[in-house]
Amino acid sequence: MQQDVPLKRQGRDRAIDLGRYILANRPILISNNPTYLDAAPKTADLRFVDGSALDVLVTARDLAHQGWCLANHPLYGNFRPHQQPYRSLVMLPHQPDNADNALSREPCTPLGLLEEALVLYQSPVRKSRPEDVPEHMRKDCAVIDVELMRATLESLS
Amino acid sequence: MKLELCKIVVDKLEWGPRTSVKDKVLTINKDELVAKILEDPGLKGVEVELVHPGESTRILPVKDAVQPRYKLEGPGQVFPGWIGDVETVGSGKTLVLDGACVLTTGRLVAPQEGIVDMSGPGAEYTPFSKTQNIVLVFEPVDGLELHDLEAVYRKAGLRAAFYLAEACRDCKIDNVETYEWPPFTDSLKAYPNLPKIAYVYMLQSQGLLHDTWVYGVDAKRILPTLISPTETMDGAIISGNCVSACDKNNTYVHLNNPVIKSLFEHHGKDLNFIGCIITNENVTLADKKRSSWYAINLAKMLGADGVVISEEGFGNPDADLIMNCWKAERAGIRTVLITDEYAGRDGSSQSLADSCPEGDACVTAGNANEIVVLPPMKKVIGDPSKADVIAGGFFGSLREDGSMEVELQAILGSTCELGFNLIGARTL
Repeated sequence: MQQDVPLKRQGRDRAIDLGRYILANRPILISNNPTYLDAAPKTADLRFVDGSALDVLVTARDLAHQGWCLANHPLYGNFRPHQQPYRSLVMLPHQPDNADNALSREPCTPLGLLEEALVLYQSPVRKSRPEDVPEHMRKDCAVIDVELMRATLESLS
Repeated sequence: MKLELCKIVVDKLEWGPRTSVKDKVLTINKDELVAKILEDPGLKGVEVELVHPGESTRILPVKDAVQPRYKLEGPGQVFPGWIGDVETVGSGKTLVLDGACVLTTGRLVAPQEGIVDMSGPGAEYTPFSKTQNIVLVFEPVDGLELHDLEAVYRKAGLRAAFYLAEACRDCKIDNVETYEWPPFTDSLKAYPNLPKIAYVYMLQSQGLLHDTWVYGVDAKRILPTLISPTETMDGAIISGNCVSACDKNNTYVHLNNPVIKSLFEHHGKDLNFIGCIITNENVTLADKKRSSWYAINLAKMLGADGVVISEEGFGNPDADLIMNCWKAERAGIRTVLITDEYAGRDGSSQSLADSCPEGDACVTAGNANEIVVLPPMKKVIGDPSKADVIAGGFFGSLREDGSMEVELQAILGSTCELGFNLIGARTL
């Protein structure tokens, strides 16, 4: 059975300074999906964002500017931003041969994808914060977010 | 490989003592059909409804559509990996109940699936308003895990379609379509004055409710590969994609891919159809890069002059589409892209999430954001409350009088990126 998904966890601030991640040299899972608070992945450190899907993208964009590499595409497949209040992204520790050299060999750069996604998330038809979504819908959206992150997280192991 | 599609035309459904087709009427033994479906221990019940074009009936939420097929002569059997063994299909003779369609419905999770109206304005947008539909409404056993539940529904649709076609194996065949796929040693030398064209067939492969299966293998776990187009006609590719009804490719569409059919029609006239490359639409950027490089390299190794690339779905698959296009063009292979658009309700927004200047030949299947008002129907099969959570529907879209205001995204197959839809233009 699916578990209830709380909107947020009061008093459980999971935001941790970036220095720790850089030193750990481990991938970061950035997510506003509270499911991960109870079931954090083994392959990445969780950075929980107590906010909207847009806030997740902004956090990822800021890390990308600091040299982190985006592991999964910032847009869902077959969901528009307003149809899914949760968003989860994995950022990889900077690898010199990963991001910058790819620019000339790929039409889509991670930072470019994030910026394009931000444009879409900033012009929603409707709001996409978890609290705007009825609870029965919110639970299902959380389940789908976890399922759609499964392949990305498994790829880290 | 030579495949004969032996078609029996069906333009009416009815219940009766023996499943068979006579005078274009498919008679179905309901008890037998139900018993076949309930062989799966994951189901404790199923309701079966027969629905015809023009009726005041709404079906939702629809998961998959499957055309009944059965291999009269092998090797193999249809839907390999699910109904048949994993032997390679695409040769021999395959019986098709042309005009009949199995539609599956049942709850998985909320934001998914689609609407089929059999009459009214909604019927003008879905190709499945024109088929004679055997609609399955599932009642699963309690406590099934979500992945298992999805698989139960998916396999039940295939099993029902197979049963119907198998039961009609001795019935009179109305017409035969023949498709031949020669060895590459022959095809690459044929028609030296015509451009060599390959098809890059993108398959949705994001995860649960967004999956496609090839010979029973999850498409996210494949490297791009070559497949005979005739294999697709025997169900080598089946859908586990339940999200974004307008542009998901259900199993019926994979069996009847209009891109493949059109390439066959043009073969030897104005092009040489040399290959069909299936590739995936995974979520990680590494997979997207890997698959696009690999798919286009296959086209290069074939010596393709051009490729037709069809997308499935939208959002991050737009990046796969653009990567395929960009890499092909840089390899000197011209491209034609087939997609649909999310251009906002007034059509003025950016249509795709990604683009590149090289993508200068693009066919659109329509704007999925277009608003449609669907009037109430006398009969609803499924659960109309799901309209609130179907992708493309929105909260409050179900009105008190039973009418619905939805975007085209909610209507099954309305903007199919293989061209299996009703809106658009046709060359006469």
